[in-house]
Parts: sequence; C-alpha cells; structure tokens
Amino acid sequence: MNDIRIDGKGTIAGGEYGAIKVNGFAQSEGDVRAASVDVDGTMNCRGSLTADLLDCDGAMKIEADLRVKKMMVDGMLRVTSGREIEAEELFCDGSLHIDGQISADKMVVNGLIRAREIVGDQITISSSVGRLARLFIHNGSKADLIEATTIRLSGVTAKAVNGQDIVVGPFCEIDSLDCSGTLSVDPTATIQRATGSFVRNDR
Amino acid sequence: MDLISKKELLEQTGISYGQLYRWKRERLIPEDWFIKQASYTGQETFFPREQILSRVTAILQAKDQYSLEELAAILSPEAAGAFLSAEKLAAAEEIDSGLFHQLSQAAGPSEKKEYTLLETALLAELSALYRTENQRITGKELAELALQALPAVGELHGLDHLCTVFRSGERLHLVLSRAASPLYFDSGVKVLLSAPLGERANQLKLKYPAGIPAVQRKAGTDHE
Repeated sequence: MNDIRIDGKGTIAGGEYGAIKVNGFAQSEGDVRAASVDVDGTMNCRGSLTADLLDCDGAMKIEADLRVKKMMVDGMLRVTSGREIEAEELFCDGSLHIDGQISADKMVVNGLIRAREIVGDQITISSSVGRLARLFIHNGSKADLIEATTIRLSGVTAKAVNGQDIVVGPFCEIDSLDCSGTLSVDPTATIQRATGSFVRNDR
Repeated sequence: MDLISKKELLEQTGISYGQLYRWKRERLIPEDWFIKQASYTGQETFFPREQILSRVTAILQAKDQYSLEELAAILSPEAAGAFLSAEKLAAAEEIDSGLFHQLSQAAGPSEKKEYTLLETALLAELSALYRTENQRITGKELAELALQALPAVGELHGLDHLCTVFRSGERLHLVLSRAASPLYFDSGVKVLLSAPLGERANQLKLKYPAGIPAVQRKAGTDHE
C-alpha cells in the first residue's frame, strides 16, 4: 500500500494507504484507511478515518467516525457530525472534542476532553487547573455520561458517572454517580447524588 | 419487547462496563441493541432482554476458545462463502436425514456440494418444521420447496431475514423477508412456519465454527 507524505498542501482521495504523514495542510475526500496517520500540520477528513495508529500533534477535523487501535493527541482533534470515536488506547495531552461517543479500552487524558459520552474500561481524565488559573479558565472537561470499569477524574464536569471503582478528584462536579465497587471523593469535589452498593475509600 | 437495563444486565451476567463496550467495539454486540430511553434518573440504556442475554452467554462461553477477532467473525452478519459440505450437512443433527435424502433425490445431478450458512439455516428450519408437522406435510413437498427456495437464499445479504412457510390452496410456499418487516396474511392462508434465519444461523456458527472463513484461516496457520 502506498505511503503519502504531504508537506505543502494536498488532497488525499478515499482508499487504503500505508503511512500518511501530514506536515502541511491535507484534506481527505471519502473514507480513508491507513496503517498509521501522523499529523503535525492540519488535516481535514471529509469522510471516516480508520487507522492502527493515529498521532496528532497538529490540528485535525474529522467529519465522520474515527476508528483506531491507538491514538495520541497532543494537538487538537475535533470530530464533527461523526457519531463516535472508537479506540483501544487513547492518550490525549491536547484537546479532544466530539458531539457523540468516545469508546476506548484504556484512556488517559491530561488535557481537555468534551464529549456526550465517554465509555470504556479504564478511564483517567485529569483536567485540573491551579487555583489561580481557575479564576480565568472556566471551561474544563465535560461530558453527559462517563461510564467504565475504573474511572479516575479530576477537574471534570459530568451529568452522570457510572462505574465499578471510581476516584473523584479535586474540582469535579457530578450530578449523579453510580458505583458498585469502591468510591473515593476529594473534599473539593461535589456530587449531587450517589447510588449503588459501594465502599467509601476516601483518602 | 421485553427490555433489560444496562445495570441489570451487568449484575445478572457479572460482566464489566469495559467488557460490554469492548464487545460493542468488536461488533460482537450490534449497536441497535443499545436502546436509549428516558428514565427518572435521566437517560438510561436498555437492551432486548432475550437477545442480549443469549449473546453475552454465547460470548462468555466461546471467548476462551477463540480470539475476539475470530468471535467477531463467528457472530458477525457476514455469511458469504461455503459453510458446510453436503456430507457434513447430512450428518448434522439439525438437518433431518429423511428430508435431506428427499432433497438430494429431487435435486438429482444438480445437487449442491456445499451449502452457505443461510442455506444451512434454512434447511435446519425446514427440518424442524418437518419433524413437528410431519402429519400435515410430506417430505417430498418440503424437499421440492427447499429446492426452489435455495437459489433465492443465495441472493440475500446479511443474516437478518425471516423465513415464512405457508400453504395456499394445495401448494406449499416459502417467502424470505427482512426480519424487521413481518408479513401479514389474509385468513385464507395457513402459516406453518415463521422463523428468523439469523438466530438459527448464529447457533449454527457457534456449533460449527470450522465453517467460518476467518476461523479456517487461523486453523490453517496453526498447522504450519
């Protein structure tokens, strides 16, 4: 399969590729499958993207579903009009935005994440900002639903959080929480309503 | 439809959220089984109770034996290609041997050597019908019906089909339709069988996984 490298400006037609590397500005038309996608510049996908590995250090916009084995976002990734991001492993130090569902086995977010639903097995989201910076930054990570076997959150606003073992860290705001294993809550976090047969394990 | 909530499903089967979503990503659990409904706690997800429970049990039973990829191949709605040879089909307990004998006689020299998954499922359904209704249906007319229906099965895509056998006047007929759109007959028509082929096909796949192409490939590489 062909490798593609775009240093200037180019268009990628739908189809199957080996490695795609974008340093400049690329736009894909149609559904793209690739072994790896490495974006240091800007990439707009006008169709779905399926890849084994996605490394986004630049900016990406995807206008359909994204399905990858492993993805690392240090830049910005936005999925518009797609319904879901599916990944086995997801690491985000940048920002990730989707108006649908993110489903991943293992997810570690140290940046900003916005989604309707974040689901999977092990989910860690820490979007804490310092006390001083909090005066200026109001928009942390947000989701309607976070649901996984083990969940660790800090600086996250969520309507519902369901899981087996949950750690609610500093500055989280959660409307309803359901936990079936152990639950630990930081004193600066607020939880409106907690249900389930959990064991409190506050540090 | 009888529904089960996500929480109840996890409690009853002992699986975790992680497993549920992993299986959904692997397409072991179809997306349209996740039914969102409003509840007093906000929005909650429900599943068709019988389907999801039997699917989860099937996955739990088979997951140690097969990789997730193979399982996906076994449970996915892809049905192309040969599934069982005529000899294996004749030996399968789901297939009535008397009916199969009649079928090969009726087919004569044009008898098929290999049967696809859906064809196997169809013959299994007709066999079940023959076993319960052999007072009212002769093996010969059912074999002739099967012979006429088999080419039509070959044209179907996916597994989600309903097989309806009915008698109109003196003749026996078979109709294949999308499972989502059931058929309604006038009172002059006597419906003898209305069976979803997909259910039967999934059972057959779990029972005879050697017929699945992805599993065959895996078995082949293991020998080398």
